[in-house]
Amino acid sequence: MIIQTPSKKILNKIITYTFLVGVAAILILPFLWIISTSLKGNESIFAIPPQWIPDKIHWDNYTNVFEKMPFFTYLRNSIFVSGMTIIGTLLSSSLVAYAFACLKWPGRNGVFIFVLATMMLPMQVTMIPLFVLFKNFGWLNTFKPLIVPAFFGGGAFNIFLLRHFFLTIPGELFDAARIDGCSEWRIYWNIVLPLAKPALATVAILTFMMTWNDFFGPLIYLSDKLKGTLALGLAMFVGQHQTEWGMLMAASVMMMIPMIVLFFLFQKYFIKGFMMSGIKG
Amino acid sequence: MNTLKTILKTVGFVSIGLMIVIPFLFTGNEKPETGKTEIQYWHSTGQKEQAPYYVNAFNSTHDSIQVKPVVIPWQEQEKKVLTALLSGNPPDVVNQFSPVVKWASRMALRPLDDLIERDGLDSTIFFPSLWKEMRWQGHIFAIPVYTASYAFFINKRLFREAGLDPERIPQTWQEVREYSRKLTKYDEDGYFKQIGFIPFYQQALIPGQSTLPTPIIMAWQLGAEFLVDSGHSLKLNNPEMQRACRWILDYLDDYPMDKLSAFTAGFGYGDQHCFVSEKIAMMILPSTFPEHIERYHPDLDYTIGMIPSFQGYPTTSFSGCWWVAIPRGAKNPEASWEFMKYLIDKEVQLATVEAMEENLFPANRLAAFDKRFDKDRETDIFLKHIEVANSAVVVPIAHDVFWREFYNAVERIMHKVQPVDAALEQAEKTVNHELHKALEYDEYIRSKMDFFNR
Repeated sequence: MIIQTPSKKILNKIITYTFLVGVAAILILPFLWIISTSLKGNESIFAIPPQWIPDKIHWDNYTNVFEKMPFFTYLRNSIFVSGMTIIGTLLSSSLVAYAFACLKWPGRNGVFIFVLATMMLPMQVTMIPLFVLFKNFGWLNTFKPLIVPAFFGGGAFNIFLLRHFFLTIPGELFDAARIDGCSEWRIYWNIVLPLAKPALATVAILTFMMTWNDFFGPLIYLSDKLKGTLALGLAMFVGQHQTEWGMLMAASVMMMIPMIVLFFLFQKYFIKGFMMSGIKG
Repeated sequence: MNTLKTILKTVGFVSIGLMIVIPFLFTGNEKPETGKTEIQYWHSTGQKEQAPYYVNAFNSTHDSIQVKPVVIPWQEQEKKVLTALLSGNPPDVVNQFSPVVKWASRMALRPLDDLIERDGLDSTIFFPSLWKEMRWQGHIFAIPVYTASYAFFINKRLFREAGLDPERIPQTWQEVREYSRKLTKYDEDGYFKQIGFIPFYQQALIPGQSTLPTPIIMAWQLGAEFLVDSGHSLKLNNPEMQRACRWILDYLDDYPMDKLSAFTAGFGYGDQHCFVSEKIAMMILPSTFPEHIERYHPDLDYTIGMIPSFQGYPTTSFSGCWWVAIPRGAKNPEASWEFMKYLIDKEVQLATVEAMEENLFPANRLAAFDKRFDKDRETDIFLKHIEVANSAVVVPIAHDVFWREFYNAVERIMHKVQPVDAALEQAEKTVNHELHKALEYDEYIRSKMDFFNR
């Protein structure tokens, strides 16, 4: 074991933190640029050399967003779709993962591989059959195609992630519960789920990021202007001849805020979830 | 305590149950019975028009048909329309800008011949190049509604600085070359500070936008025909195209490519556009460009003129158009057709163009040349260009491949990687290969589909 002197320790820390701050600064640059552009007028958006702090701050880009699009309606729709999708995903993917991790049944591993194989299907392959299915259900131009699938499995990746986490829970816990007369449902609900909070938080955040930013689903399934989501609303600022860059960036900043807040609130769980389920980026 | 836990659990379960059930209760398809035929109109004309003027006007004047407009984000229309169409749930009318043939050859549109014939629609009211674009394999698949064109823009301030008369816009490419020499400035290291005209360089207004390539314009002016053998082959390596490319190569003797590349690399969008930032004095630009100037450099002193040509040859231009069509499988073709006819009515076209913020032109010539249409000098020049324009769809069924290969060939020629004829020959061969494949596929599809053979 190498014992470091206090001065060496401090030096190591300085080097590590300088490096991390440097990398963080690079990563945050695009976000700062978006904020900067959201406060610029047409005259300074493309200015060279670039202006980080515009001469004239255009707060009107933010107020104009509310005039150009029904921002709060889109926000409400995005929150509803994301919220319902998270609930559906957490419930169904944890149930499926429980069956794969904690129950013994013939062909379990084969079915699991089959579930994982669905991750390899590109979205373009399933797009038309799914659209036809939802059309036959009479679900077009409703939020159902965006929400209901989450209640039926919640996605192979989430199942994979949760199953991995559930496998780390000692089997003795389940055996003890079964001896005490616990039903499988109670084991799942009272033992597994409380222990799996970090993994569930990870799944929740990943699902939120995916649905919050989903553009394609709302584009093809929704046609009513007032049923749009924020991701769809943002695209309306891009025209054939002109793009309202200032407003586009202002709306993007507003759209990003919930995601940033959520990440900071749950980052502890988020990182823990990834670490404990053995999926490290 | 236990009772409280049980209550909390029950509330939890009921909430989760409700959340599962709620989405099923949300239905958006029930429509109030109004006794009207509702048709869905999918359009995408940029963010400025949320509810098009003509839709409101149509709805207020028609008792039996109600048009429901759906705005689709620009550049995302194909995904939405094609998904809906392939799933058997298309809208009733679509408004598009991409080549009609691209859609028609994939059976995405309903042929309109029977409706046109029945109602005696006079196709001569449209600008010829626009109507030509609506046709595929002898059938008409769409109706043009609006168009835009190009003109030759000059910077008057830079003209005056160079001792040139800004009211005398160059008429021939030779004149452009002479003017350009006077308008070009260098810095102390011999790099360009300002250039009069760069013949192959066209800068888009926004990322991803298509631009107008000068070599094609020049070849058209010289009389080039690109599609031969009844549309079954491309002849890109033709004498006119070769002459245009050689003229440009000769022109570039005054402008070394390395320095030209360094100069053009600094251009951007918005107010960094080379014409708006006064780095290039003469350019061929679209009819929507004055709007761009107004936005980013309202004080820019400029004027427009006809696109120059070679001595003794008439000028020509490019035009693209927005069109409306009935997708295959649409459920209310009669109501859709009624709405489409309304859109091309002279009075409706005039009122719509007036209400639009974008600088577009009516496809109906009767409206475009009506004295009530805002006819300043600029409009007049753009209209003259539309009259002599060629369609931007040079090789209908292999449109994207053609432009990709064309730009690559021009790049190789300008950088002297390949001689003119070899580069054109290579592009021609690749496009023809794709064209023949596409035609074979189209032939097969048409032999299987009844509605093409009606």
